[in-house]
This record gives sequence, C-alpha cells and structure tokens, in this order.
Amino acid sequence: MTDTLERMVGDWPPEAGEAARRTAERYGPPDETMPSRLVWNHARPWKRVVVNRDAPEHRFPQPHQDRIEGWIDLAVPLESAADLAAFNGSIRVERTRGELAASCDVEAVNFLAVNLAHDLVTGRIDVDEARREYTEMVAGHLLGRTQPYTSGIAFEPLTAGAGTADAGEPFAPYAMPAVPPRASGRRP
Amino acid sequence: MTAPMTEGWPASAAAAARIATERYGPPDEASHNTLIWHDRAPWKRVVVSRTMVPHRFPREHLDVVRHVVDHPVPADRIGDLARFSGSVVYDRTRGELSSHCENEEGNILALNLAHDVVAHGMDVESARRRCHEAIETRDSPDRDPYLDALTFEPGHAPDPDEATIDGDLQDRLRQALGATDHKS
Repeated sequence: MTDTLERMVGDWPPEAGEAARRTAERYGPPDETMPSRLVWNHARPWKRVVVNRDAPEHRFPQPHQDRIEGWIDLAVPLESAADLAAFNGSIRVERTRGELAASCDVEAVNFLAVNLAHDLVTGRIDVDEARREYTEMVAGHLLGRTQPYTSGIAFEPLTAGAGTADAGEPFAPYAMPAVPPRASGRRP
Repeated sequence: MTAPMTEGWPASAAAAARIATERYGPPDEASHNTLIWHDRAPWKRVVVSRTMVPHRFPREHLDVVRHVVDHPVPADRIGDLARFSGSVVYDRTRGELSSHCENEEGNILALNLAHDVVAHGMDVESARRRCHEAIETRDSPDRDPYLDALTFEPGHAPDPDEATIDGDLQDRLRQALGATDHKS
C-alpha cells in the first residue's frame, strides 16, 4: 500500500503528500484515486474524506492550506446558510445532498469545524461565539491541548440516507391562495 | 468514448458523461465514481458523478453534472442564494460558485439566475419563477437565452478570510496551559 500511495502522491507538494499519508495511516488505502485528489468513502466517523493536491490558502484562524475535506450528513436549515459561511468560509453546504464539509490542513480542525457548525445550526452559539471558540480551540490544539471538539465528532452524525437530503420543492406558479377570493365575501 | 469509464453507471449519469466528453474531450481525471474536466471555458471545472441526487426544483430531475465558475458572493446574499436553489453551492474560501443539475443548460440557467440574485439583487421568488418558466419553455420559440450561455464574466474571487490567532493569544494560552499542567 505504501508504495502505491507514494506513486500516487509522488509529484504532489510535500504538504499534500503528507496529508495523504496521514489519512491513509488512519483509514487505509483510498477508495478513489485521481491525479489531483484521493477519496476515502465511509471513513468513519466521516461519510467521506478527500485529500486534494491543489489547495486554496485560508487565513482563518491562522494561515494554512485547505488540503483535507471531511464530509458528514447534516441537514442545514435555510436560515443557517449565511451564518455558516460567515463563521468559516471553508465550510461547504450541499443542501440537496444533505451534506456538509469542512476543509483544513489537519483532520482535528475539521472535527472542530463541524462540531461548531452543528452548535451554530442548532442555536447553542452565534457566529461571533463560533469564531471565538474556533480560534481558541485551534490555538489550544497547536499547543498540544487535548480537547473533545478536536478529537472527534461530538454529536451523533447521521448515517448515509438518514434523511438529511433536501430535494426542495417544485416551483408552483399557480398555487392557490390560502383564502379563496370568493370566501372573503367580496366579488371582483 | 467514456463507455469503459462509466461501465455500470446509471443511464442518466453515463449519458451526462458522454455528452460532456463530446463537448470537452476526454476527462482530465477519472475514478470509478467521478469524471473531471478542468479549465473548459467558460467553466473552471466540470464534474460528472455516478451518484445521482434527486432534486425537485424547478421540476423533478436527478443532479448528475456539476459546473463550477469563479464568482464572488457578498455575505448578505448567501441566504438568498440558498433559498434560490439547494443545488447551487458557494465555496467562500475558493471563491467558487457551482450548480449541480441533470445537464449543462440547467446549470447555465441556474448560475445566470444565481448571478442575478447575488450581484443584481433579483428577489428569490422572481429567480425561481424564471427558472421554472425557462425549463417549461426550453423547446419552444420563446426559449430563454439564460439557458444558452453565461450572461456574466466569471472572476477570480477567493476569500481567504483573516488570521485571528496572534502572538498575544498564543502567549496567553501557553501560560494558561503551563499553569494547568503545573497544577496537574
């Protein structure tokens, strides 16, 4: 496995190759391999883990590159979409699929991001509190502090197909009004 | 041309892969679940997946192909974007806007309307109505041009945010952790 993985990431930037190695040590060989990304499906507790060769720069809470994506099933209410984006631009919501992803350079911080995202959409904290707790706990992690929110998913993630997908509603151009005009006693 | 790559795929996903290949040539990357084309103007990326996602807006279909562009979304428009369509996704750090639908014209339409919502203040109901009407009339003489080409120029728009861990915070935490460790 090691030789195979080394061939896959041989021409990747060193940090990306290291992220792939750490992920493979934890979850075994990837299920899907492409030149720019490796995918682990059902890498519990994640629904999916993706390691990318090419990663964007992210400065929050400190400069790093988003190389590892951790995906879970999570239903995100419509009204929470903007709050999640304001909390952390590296959280992606796929509402139709019922999935949420966090991207960072280490898995522990992805755990933290989805835990605080869950707290945000369930109302325990607001955006400012989420950013403050994220900042403090990432700093603690960098200093070697063991914390539940960086050690795993602190809520019960749903299994695939558990009902987080949101297929939306067809557009209804001729929807009947709640109170029919004639029932109001008025005539046009 | 993609037949060996999509062997065993559902018909809708295999058809989307075949159409993308006819238009853009062989994919740049492939796995048994995913085909990816990079930098096929006007797209930053085109992704066809074996996994099909049921979507009911504007009418029932299966999302199988994703088209990605660079496009900024102001923070105060993200809520409306979500209300417009659950299959339009914004990646703030990368500055990418994508649409996932059954075919390319559906994604062109969705991204044009998403652009109108986030850049021109179109209200969500109007965007959803036009999306519905465009799909309903796509085979008629009144075909909506929003189905045929992007009406905007994609633009580089990553948002890396800002650092919030500074030297002072690290010093304070180090002292606090040191005190905790000393006590334990």
